[in-house]
Amino acid sequence: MTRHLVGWSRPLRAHPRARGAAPIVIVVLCGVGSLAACSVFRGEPSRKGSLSFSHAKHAKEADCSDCHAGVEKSKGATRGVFIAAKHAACDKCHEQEVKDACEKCHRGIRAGVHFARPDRALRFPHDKHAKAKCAACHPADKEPGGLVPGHATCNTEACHRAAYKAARCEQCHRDLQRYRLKPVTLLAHGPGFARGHGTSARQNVRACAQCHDQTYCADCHAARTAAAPAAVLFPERVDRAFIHRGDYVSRHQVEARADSGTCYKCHGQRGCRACHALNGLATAPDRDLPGKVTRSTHPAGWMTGGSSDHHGRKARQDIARCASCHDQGARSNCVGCHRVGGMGGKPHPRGWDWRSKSSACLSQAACATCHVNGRGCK
Amino acid sequence: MRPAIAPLALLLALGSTPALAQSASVWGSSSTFLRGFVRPADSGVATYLPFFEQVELHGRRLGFEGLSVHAGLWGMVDLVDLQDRYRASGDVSTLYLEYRAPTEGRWRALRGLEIAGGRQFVALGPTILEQVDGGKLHYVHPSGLELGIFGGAPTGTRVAYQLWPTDEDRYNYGYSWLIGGRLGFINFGHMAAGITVVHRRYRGRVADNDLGLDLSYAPLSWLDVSASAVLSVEAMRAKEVKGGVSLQPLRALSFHLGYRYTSPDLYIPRTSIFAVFADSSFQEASIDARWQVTRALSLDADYGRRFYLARGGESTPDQSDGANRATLRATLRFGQSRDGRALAEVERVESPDNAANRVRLATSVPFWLLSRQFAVIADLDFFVLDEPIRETRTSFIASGYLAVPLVSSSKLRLLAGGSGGVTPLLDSAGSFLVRLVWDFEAPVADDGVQVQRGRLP
Repeated sequence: MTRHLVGWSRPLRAHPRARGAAPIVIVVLCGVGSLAACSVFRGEPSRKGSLSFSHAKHAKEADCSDCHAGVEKSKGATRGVFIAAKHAACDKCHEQEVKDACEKCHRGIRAGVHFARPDRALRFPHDKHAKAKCAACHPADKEPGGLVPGHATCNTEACHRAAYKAARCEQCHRDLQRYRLKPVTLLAHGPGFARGHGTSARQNVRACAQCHDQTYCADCHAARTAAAPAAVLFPERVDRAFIHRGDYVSRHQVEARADSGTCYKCHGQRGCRACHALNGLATAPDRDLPGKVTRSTHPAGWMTGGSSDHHGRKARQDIARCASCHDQGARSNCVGCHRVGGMGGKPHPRGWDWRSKSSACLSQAACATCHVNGRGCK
Repeated sequence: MRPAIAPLALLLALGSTPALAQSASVWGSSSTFLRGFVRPADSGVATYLPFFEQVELHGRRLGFEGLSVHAGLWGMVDLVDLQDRYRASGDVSTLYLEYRAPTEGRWRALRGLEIAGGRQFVALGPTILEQVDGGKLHYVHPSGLELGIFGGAPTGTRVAYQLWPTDEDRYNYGYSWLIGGRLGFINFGHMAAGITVVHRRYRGRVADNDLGLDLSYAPLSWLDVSASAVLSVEAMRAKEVKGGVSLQPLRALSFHLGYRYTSPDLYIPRTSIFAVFADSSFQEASIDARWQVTRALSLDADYGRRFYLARGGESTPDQSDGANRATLRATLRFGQSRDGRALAEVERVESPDNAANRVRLATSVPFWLLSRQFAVIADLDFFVLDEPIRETRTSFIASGYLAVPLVSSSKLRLLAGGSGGVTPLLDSAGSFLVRLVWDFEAPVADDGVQVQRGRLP
């Protein structure tokens, strides 16, 4: 049996043993999945703990440095000895509780403060901010929300407002992909954004990259290399403007004819032909689908002059539709019949000034189909 | 690399990702899919049962400040041997190494410089969005002046077996390539303008030789205008012209007025005989509106009218009349962190010889059970065609899924469900999907800030 394997660019014949590789591939895939699952279950415990701890109460009786010693020398937001508030630090005041009464601090998961995963994408050198008092940025009485400073704390006139207004986010944020931020002005995701976002993205790639890396773009735009349409991969994202939702296969002829150029930007006519050939809607090359019986999509009257469905009229109305199947070289396009002396007559349209096309005639493959070596060109 | 070995190598690469995840500053996800669906085929119905693994991987600060790597790749086998053919596939969607010069430290003189190499998208200027195996250099001077250069071979072949192999899928890397550049000015968030050139060759012949111009300007916080044009230098004609005005007269109300003229190159090789006959051209005027009724509820409406200028070199009465498209959409966001969604959508799309009227109702409802967040997803998609296909006008697909977190931290999530309905091409359509997603992350770095949530007891 003939099969078609594709390497980087060369067509190859499948080795007879290749069929036997299927079980191996499946086993490897299963193994990967199992390893992934095992890695999770035997991994380190979740960091999302629960702790009953009031900064406001402790701030009245202790200095910040009693627990967070060395923070003034820290080069990062939590780097170094900043998080020293472990059992050793608590022991000073709560020796008995640390030994015997865990529940005093460690409560049920739903009851306590949830320490979510840290945002490692923040640049914040504590040593450069050590001149300010801790409470200026960390007002303990506003726990839990106010304990971690937000934009209002950082973006004062004396500090970082200028950078904030200029949207120089990278001064503090290595990237913004973990935030649910809404862009402003030129980058706002307003009405019609899904349809017109390409213009903004091409103008200002860096701005998009603050929140989205290219794997996000690839969800929709990697049409030639994707495993499946985005609507299939992410069914939970019901609000995203994925194109191929629901019964798109039945609907695609309407949308493709309404704006064929949009389809071709991702799929090209290659995609049309591959799918149509697989489904028996177009002629397939012999070596691709051997022995395949195809049916014609052309209506009755396709070859009857004067018919409203005559192929010449239809081709002039929508040549792109023809090209989805028939642009496979000289053997499949019009010149098979439409050549000088052929049953279809000459292919040149009315007003075609061939004498002025001598250079194109020599270099264009379409012309060369009939005008071999420039024969007939002047 | 021998093509027969390529899929196994790819899968081994997928298997190694958990180990990579143990190094610092690495995160990503691994998704395992089992999917079943049917498609129309010459024999009536074709059944597909693909099983695939998809991995997304990101790494930052890999021993060098500003250096990062991003990858998205997958491998697939179809468990149904349709048409007695071996069906396995796989590919690398994205794989590039990127360097962004840091704003501080020894290399701060280079700030504004970005270099990327590998399989990536290049998108500079209005002319092109292309997935290439190549490189990109982008520099933005603090004054706002920017310079970009890109080049490479368009991505065309999968590294393994093809799902639907055809002659045209064998991309000729040796003679197909593109190169381009952009000179522009950016005042972040307020103004962007530039000029772009792109030269693309397909199998050795010139496929595109384009010049792009673009301008976006936001003089006021509630107003911005944008315009772009792509000119074919070779044919000395406009391929695409776009213009738009966005207005936000009220905080809750915004509009976008748009114009588009398109006369594409048919996206087929210029050597085609079809290029002799015609171009497909139309103009479109559109308006989009959004009313943010409440913080949770928004209403969107858009309308566009297309005027087909020429098809096949001649205007015909039925096409010059034009066609319409219109959509009304209501979106409700709800839940503890507003990750619940409910959506109702009505749409009409007209083409020159048919039209589709579509209604869609969809929701994703999160709920808490056993201290874990579950979700139920439901999606109803219904449309009616003006002109029947195979004597059928209507299509209805109903989908339902349940998302289950397998561990409390939601790092391992299972989603399972399916869909069913009737379509013009199939008397009964059905599908199912089982998806297991694992979000992995390197151990906590020591320079992050802890984000607190929840309440004190």
